[in-house]
Amino acid sequence: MSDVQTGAGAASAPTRPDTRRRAPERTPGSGLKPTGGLAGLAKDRRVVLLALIVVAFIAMSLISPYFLNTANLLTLLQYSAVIGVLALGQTLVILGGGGGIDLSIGSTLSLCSVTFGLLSVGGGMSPWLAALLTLAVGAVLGLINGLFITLLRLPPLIVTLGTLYLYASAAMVLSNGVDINGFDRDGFSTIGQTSVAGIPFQVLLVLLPLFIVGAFVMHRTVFGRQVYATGSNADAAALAGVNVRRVRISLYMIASTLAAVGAIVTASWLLNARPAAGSGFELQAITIAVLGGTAITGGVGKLSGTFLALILVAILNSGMQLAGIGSTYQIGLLGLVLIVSMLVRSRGAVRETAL
Amino acid sequence: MTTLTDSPGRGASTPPPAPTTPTGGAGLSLYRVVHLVQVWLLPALLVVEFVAFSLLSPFFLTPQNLTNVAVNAADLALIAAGLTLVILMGGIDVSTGFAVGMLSWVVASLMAAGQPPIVVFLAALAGGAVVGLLNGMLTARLAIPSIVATLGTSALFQTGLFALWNSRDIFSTPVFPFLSGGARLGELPILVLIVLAVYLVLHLVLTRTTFGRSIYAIGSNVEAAKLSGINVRRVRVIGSVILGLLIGVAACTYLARVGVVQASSGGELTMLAIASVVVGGTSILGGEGSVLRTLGGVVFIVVLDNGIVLAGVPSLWNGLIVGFVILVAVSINGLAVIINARKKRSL
Amino acid sequence: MQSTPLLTARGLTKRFGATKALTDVDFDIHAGERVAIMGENGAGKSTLMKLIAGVYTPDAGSLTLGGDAYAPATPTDAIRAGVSTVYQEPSGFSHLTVLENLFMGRQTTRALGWLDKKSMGREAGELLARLQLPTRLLKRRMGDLSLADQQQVLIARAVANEARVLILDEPTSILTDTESERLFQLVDQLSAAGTAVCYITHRFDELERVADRFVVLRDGQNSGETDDPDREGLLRMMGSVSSVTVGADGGLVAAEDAVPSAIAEGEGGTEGEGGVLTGSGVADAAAATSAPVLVVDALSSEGIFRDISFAVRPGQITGLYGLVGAGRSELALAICGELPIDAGTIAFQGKPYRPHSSRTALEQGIAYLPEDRKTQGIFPHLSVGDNLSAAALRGVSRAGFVSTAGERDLVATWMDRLSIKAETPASPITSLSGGNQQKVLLARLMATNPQLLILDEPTRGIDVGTKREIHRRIRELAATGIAVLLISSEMAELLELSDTVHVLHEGRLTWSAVGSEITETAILRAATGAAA
Repeated sequence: MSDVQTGAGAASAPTRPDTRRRAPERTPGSGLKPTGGLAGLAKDRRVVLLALIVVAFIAMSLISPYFLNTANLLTLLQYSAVIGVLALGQTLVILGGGGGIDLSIGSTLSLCSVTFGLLSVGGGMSPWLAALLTLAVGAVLGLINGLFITLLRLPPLIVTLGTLYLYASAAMVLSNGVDINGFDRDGFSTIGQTSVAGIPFQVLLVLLPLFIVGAFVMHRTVFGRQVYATGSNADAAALAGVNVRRVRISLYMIASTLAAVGAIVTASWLLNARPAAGSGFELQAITIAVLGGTAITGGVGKLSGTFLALILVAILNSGMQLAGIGSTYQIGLLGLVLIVSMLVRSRGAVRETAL
Repeated sequence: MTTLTDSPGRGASTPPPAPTTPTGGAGLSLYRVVHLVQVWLLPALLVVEFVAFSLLSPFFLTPQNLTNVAVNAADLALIAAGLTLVILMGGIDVSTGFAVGMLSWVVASLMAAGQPPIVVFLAALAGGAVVGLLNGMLTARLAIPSIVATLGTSALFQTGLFALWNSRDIFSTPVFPFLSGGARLGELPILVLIVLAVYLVLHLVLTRTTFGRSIYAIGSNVEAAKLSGINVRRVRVIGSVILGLLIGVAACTYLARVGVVQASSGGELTMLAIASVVVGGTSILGGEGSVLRTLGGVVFIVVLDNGIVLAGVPSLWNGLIVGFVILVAVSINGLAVIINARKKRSL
Repeated sequence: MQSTPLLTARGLTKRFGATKALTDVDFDIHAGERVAIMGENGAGKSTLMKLIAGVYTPDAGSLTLGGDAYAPATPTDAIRAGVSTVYQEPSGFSHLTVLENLFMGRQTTRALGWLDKKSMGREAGELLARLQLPTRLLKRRMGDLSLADQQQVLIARAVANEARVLILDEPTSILTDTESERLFQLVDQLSAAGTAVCYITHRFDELERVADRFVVLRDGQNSGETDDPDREGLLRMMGSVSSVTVGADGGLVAAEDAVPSAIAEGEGGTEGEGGVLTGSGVADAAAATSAPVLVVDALSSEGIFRDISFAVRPGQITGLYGLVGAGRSELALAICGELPIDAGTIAFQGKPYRPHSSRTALEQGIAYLPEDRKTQGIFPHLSVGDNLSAAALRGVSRAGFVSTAGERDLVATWMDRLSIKAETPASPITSLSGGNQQKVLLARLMATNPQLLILDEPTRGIDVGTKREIHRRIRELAATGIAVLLISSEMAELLELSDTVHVLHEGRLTWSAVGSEITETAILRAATGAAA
C-alpha cells in the first residue's frame, strides 16, 4: 500500500498479490482506531487516483464530445511520455530517502538533447549510435549528482539545484543557444512519430516498458528491495548489509539516464534538439511522483502510483485541450490536486507532529 | 541532519567512517582551514569577481553601471531576504517567482485602472501576505513538507497568473516613480536604500529579537525549540508571511524594472532566489546563516550576470558559473560538517 | 526535610498505543532534596520525567506542585511553573551562542520583542558567576563548547528559569570524572538553595555523591525506594540481579522450558533436517576448547574503548556485560565495521579480518542484532516478510532477481521456526508486538547463515513470555554450533545464558570468567569499577 502516513507505515510486501494487500489490516501505530475496509482502501493513494481518473474521464467526455474518440484516447499519453519517464526517475530518487530529490533532471534532459544533436549532426554519427552515447552521458551526469550527495553528504536539494544551473548552462554553451536539427536519418523519427497498432511508439515501446521493467525491478530484485529498505531506515539498511551509498548513487544515475531517454524521445518527436528542451520539467516530474503517493521522506511509494498520477495528468491535459482551455490551467489543476491529496494524508501527520 | 548531531559516537547510528583515519590534531587544524574557507569563500569570490570584471571591462566599475545593477537586483534581493528566514527554519519555498508574477499582474492592472499608488502598494502587500499565509498554513499548520506544498502553490500561482493575463500583456508605469531607480538620495537610488534598509531591519530582527532567536532555534533543533517553549508553528507561519510581504514589495519593483506583465512573468526568480541564499552560505538544513550573507549571495549573482555581459562573454556561461559556485560553496560546507563531526567524535 | 513534598505524583499511568509505559506510579520530592530515579532502560524513568516536564500528559493520575494541582500541558507550562529539565539528547542550539541559549524561550525584551541584550548579558554574567562558571563562555557558540560545558549551560538555563524542580536525565553519561565532579558541585549548590533535583542515572559509582534517596522503577511500576545506596539491593529492585543465583550453564532456567523446540536443524538454511537438540548442555568441554571463531586482540577505538582482547568460540554463548556507556555496543559496531578501529586486530575463523561495513561482516558470517530496534532495526514502512528477508535476499535470488517462491519459503520457514506471530508475512512490521519484531530481526540475521551472532540487548523492552522464548532460541542456536556474543545489561539474562562473561568498564575490559567462576558479585564489582 502506498500509504503515505509515514511512521504509521502500512506499506506491505510488494511481492504479495493484490488481493491480499487489500485485506483490512490492523492499524499500526499509537492510538489510531482500527480502520474498516473502505477507509483502508482510501489510504492507498492508488485507489484515490483511480477514482479521480474515473471522475476526470467522465467529466472530460461530458465537456468535449471528441474526448471519447479512440484516436484521442490512444494518443492521450503521447504528450505525457517524456514527463512520465522523468517522473519515473524522480520517484526512484525520492524513494531512496535521505531527502532525495533531483531538481536537475530537466536540465539533464536539455543537456542530453544538445549532446545528441551535436553527436548526430555535428559529429555526423548515426542518430541511433548518438542516442546510445547520449544515454551514457546521462548516466555520467547522474553519477556527478550522486557522488556529491553521498560522498560529501550534501543535501540533494542543493546539489541538484547547482547542477540544474550547471547542466542547463552547459546545454546553452554547447549549442550556442540555438536549436540543432538535421538528424532525421536512418528512420530515427520512428520513436516519436509513428504508431504501432494505433498506439504511439513512444508510449507502447518506451513509456510502458520502462514502467513495467521499473515496477519489476522495484518489487522483484534485490536492488529494488534495497531501495525501499534504504528509504525506510538507512541505518537499519546499512546494518542489514545494504551499501546505502551505492544504492543512492545508482538511483541518481537511473534518473538522469531516464532524462536522456526523454531527450531522445523529444528529439525524435520534434526533430530538433533544443538547448532548453527540459526546462521546468523537474517540478512537474516531482509533482507527479508525489501525487502518485511517493512520500517525500522516502521509503513509501509505488511506480504504479506514479503511473496512475501520470494518466490522471494526461487526461486532464487532453480534456482541457479539447475543451479549449489553455495548457497552463492543467498545471494549476495539478497543483491543486497535489495539495488536496496531501491534505487528505496530513491529518495523522499533523497529530504526530503536534507536541 | 544526522551528521549534525552532537553525541560523541555514543549513538550507534554513527555514520560510517570516512576513508582517512581521524587524528585529533590534524583533524582540528584541517577543520580550522575548512572553517576559514567556509567563512571567507563568499567575500573572496566577490573580490575576485569585482577585480576580474573591472579588468575585463572599463565600464564595469563605473557608478552608473553599479547603481544600475543594484536597481535591477531589487526584486531578487527582496525575495531572497524573506526566503532566508524560511530556509533558516529548515524550510524551502519554490513558489516565490510565480507569486511575484501573479502579484505584479494585480499591481499592473490596478495601476491601469488608475488607483492611487498607495492603494496599489497596500494591495500588493495584502496580496503578498495572503500568499505567505497560504504557504505558511500548508507547511506549518497542515504539516505538508514545504517542498511539496510550495510546488503545489507554485503551480497555482503560475496558473493564476496565466488566467489573469488571459493573453493580454499589461504594460504599466512604476507604482512609485522612485521604484524605477531614477530618484536618488545623494549618489544612491532611493530604491537601493530601501532594499538595504529591509536587509538591515531583517538582520536586526534575526539577531536582536525573540522572534529572530526563535527562527534560529527552530532551524537548529526543532525538538529542543518545542521543549524550550517556542511556538514553532506560529513562528513558521509568521516567517512565511514576512516572505509574502516582501514578495508583495518585490512585485512592485519587478514591474518597475520590466514594465510589462506576461504569461510567465517572474518564474525565473524562484531558483535564483534559492541560489542567492545558498551561495550566501545559509545552510539549507536550517539554523545557520544570515540575511547579510544572502545579500552577498545576491550581489554575487547579479554582478556575475552583469559583468559577464560587459566582459563580452556570452551570457550563456552565466549558469555554468552560478552552478559551479553553488557546488563549491556547499561542498566546502559539507566538508566542514564531516570534519567537525569527526573532531567531536575523537574528543 | 520532612515537610510536605514540593512535588507529588499519584497513580501516574501512560500508554503508548498498546504498550503501557507507566502504570500507577507514585513519586514525591521535597524542596532541596536530591532523588535518583533508577531502573533498566525501558523501565519508565524517562516517561515519568516527561510527564512531570509537560512533554506528555498522563492518561491517569495527578500531580501537585507546592501543594497546588499541577497539570502541565506543554513544556512551557512546566518551565513557567518552575519545573526545568536538562535532556540527554536534544541538548541545545549548537548554532547559537551561549547567551542566546541561556535565554531561549524567556528572553528579556523591550517593546516589540526587541531583545534587551545589555540586561540579558548582565543577568547571564551574574548567573554564571553565581554558578561559578566562566563568564567568557557567553559569546561562544554552543556547538564549539565541550559537551560538559554545554550541559552546564543548560543547567544554568534551568536555574535562570527559576526552577524549583530540576530534572537531570543521565547528565554524567557524556562527562569525564572531573567534569562530573563539577556537575555534582553545581547540583549540591542548587539543592542547598532549595531546588529539588531529580536525577536519572545508570552509574552506581556516583549514587552516593548525587542523591539522598533512590527511587526504583521496573517495567513501568514503582519497584521500591531506599536511602541506602547499596548496589546489590538497588540492582535487585531494578531486576538486574536475579533473586536466585544461577549457574553459568543456565541449567536452572533451562529446566523451566519443558520442551525444547525443533528449531535447530542444520545451519539455518532451508535444507538439512538435523536432529533435535536440547536447549541446555551447551557448555560442554568440546565447545569450550574448540578453536575460537572470533579473536579480538588489543582493539581500540579512540575515545570509545581501549585495548580490548577476547575470543568467542563456536557453540558457546559469550556474555559481554557493562553499565550504560561502557562501550559495549560500540565494540560490537566496531566488529561489524560500522565504527572505526584505531588499533588492534580481529581474526575471524582463523584469518585476519578487517571489517569495512556491515555488508562485509555479513558476507563473512558475522551478524549483528542492533541495540535499538526502532532506529537501527526495523524498516517501519515495510512488511514483516520484507523486513525478515532484507539481509538474505541474495541467497534467494539469481542475478539480482528475487525468486518469489524462494523468498516465500525463506520467510515462511523462519516465521515458523521462531514462531513469529503475524497475521501474514504481508502485515506491516509495525503491527507486531516488540517481541515479535525482535524475532523478525533475529530471523533476518539467522537467514544469512552466520557463524557469529552478536546480540545487543536482545530482550530489551520485551514481555516476559517472549523474553523466555528468545532465551531458549539463543541457546538452541548456540547448540547448532553458532558462536554467540551476547551483550546485555540484564544480569539474570547474562548469568542464565553465558558460558563465558567479559565485563567492560568505561571502555576497558576489566574482568573475564568462565563457567562456575561467573558470579553476580564479581561481575558487578568489575562493571562498577570497584574491582580495579
